[in-house]
Amino acid sequence: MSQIIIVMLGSAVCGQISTPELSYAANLIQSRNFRAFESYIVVTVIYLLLAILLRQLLNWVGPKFLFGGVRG
Amino acid sequence: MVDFSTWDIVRNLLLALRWTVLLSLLAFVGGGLVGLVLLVFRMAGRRWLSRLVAGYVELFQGTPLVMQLFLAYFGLSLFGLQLSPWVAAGLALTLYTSAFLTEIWRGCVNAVPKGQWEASSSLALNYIEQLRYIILPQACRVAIPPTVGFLVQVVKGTALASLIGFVELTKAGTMITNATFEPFLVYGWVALLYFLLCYPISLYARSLEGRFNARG
Repeated sequence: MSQIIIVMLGSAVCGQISTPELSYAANLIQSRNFRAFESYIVVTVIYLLLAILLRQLLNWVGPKFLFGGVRG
Repeated sequence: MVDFSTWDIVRNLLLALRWTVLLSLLAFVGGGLVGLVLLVFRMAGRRWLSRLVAGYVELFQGTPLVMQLFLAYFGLSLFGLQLSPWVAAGLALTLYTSAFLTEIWRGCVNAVPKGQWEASSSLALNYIEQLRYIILPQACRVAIPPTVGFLVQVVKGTALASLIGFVELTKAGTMITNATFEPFLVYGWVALLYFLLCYPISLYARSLEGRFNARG
């Protein structure tokens, strides 16, 4: 399950071959206004929140719908 | 226009491969040391200290490595520190590795039965002595296979250091592609070299796993 989060974080690399996603947007913004640190820190925080949210979601969904055998 | 033979390409990639290896080793050794310190903090039983380490792990496992590299490279230069790509890549990869290794090792320490802690504290060993003489020797046996396996992840992680201008295997591949206009050939070789580097390591990790399972 945490593999899903790892794949989500790995998708950040796709921005380097100009797939228009989050880290690509960060690169775009910092190349426009040269404020590299600000744009990268904002995007990093977004990734962090995404990862935390995704894990909460999976922790909730997993036992309930995927392998919750006991209660049926 | 310089003509590149296949051998020229491979030779230049091999020359760049040593920087990949060196950066991996630096990140792995540095990350191991930092990870060990964090592990000691985490297991010390102080709640705020282990919370702090948990937050650190969450921070580095919850953000992409690319972003960590960019932040280390661009962010620290904002504070007037002119970092070379070497330092920035080494620093970011060390912190990244330490977060993962401390989490891996925590699982291994937790795998040591609780009775071992109680028995060693009944022998009046203090916390550091308990770790040093009783817990870590047992945890190490469990820890070695996943640690070696994680080394593969570190080696592949160094590929991202090319994005901040660190000339290693991937960056060398990009530079050669720019000169030869044969991306498939060059990146094919790059991928092959990564495979030749990583496959023996993962084979070794697997054989270690088998050996420890047989004995344990």
